[in-house]
Amino acid sequence: MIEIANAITTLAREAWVSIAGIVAVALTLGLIARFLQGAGGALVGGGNLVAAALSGMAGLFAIGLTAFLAVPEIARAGYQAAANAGATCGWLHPVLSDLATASAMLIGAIGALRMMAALLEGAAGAMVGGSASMGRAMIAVVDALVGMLVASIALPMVQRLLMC
Amino acid sequence: MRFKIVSIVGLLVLMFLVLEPSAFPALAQGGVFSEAESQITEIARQAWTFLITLIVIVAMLGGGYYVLQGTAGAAFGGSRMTAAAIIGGIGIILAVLVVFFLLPELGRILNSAKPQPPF
Repeated sequence: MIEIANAITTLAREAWVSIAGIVAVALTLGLIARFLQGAGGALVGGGNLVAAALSGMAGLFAIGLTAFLAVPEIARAGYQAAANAGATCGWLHPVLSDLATASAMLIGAIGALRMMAALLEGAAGAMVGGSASMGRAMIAVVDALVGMLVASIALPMVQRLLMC
Repeated sequence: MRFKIVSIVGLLVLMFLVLEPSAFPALAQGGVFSEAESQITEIARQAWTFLITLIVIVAMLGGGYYVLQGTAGAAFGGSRMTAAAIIGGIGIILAVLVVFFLLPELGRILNSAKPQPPF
């Protein structure tokens, strides 16, 4: 179980690095696209276009800050919380210990990837001229946090139920 | 039914990855996602070139427009028109300088600030 979790976590780490790189590219291209929108609006006298461009740039900055500063810390904290919910249960100790470790690794990895992918979706939408929406990203962040919280209390509850 | 098939295939792939890591040299070298990332980066480079070209075109058109406005204003004595044209022209120059110097630097900073996996 641990080997499989290690293999999945290794893939997830490579996916994280790739997604972070693509988010950086999407943010840069999004900024230049929004600038082009603002320049075009200023040229034809469209104040709404300029305002939309400025708000889009602000949204992209927010996405960048969240993706590069907040998400790694949230993922790290959630991963630690899930990993610390280890269980010891006598004859069941090896099984529960493996289960706890594998669960923490997978939940941390998958939760972090979900958050980053949601932010990539927002940045990519802004890059092609859509709204720099952080709504889905925030939902994914809360979803991942709830999953990590449940994992951090589930195993001790199982331990209590099994009367170890 | 479809979920069962996908999960069985996924488990088989994982078992193969665990038992035969040498079968996927990409895992040992740049990772399984490096090829996709390089393709996306190549497309992004071409998009960057395209957007920069568009900005140059828009800036030149805008510059031409403001020169025309300033010339027309100077021709019939419209000082406000000329002033607005000068301000607009300076604005375009500043905007182009921002795009050509600030945005690439910002992109490099973003690239260097990529967070490491937190797990």
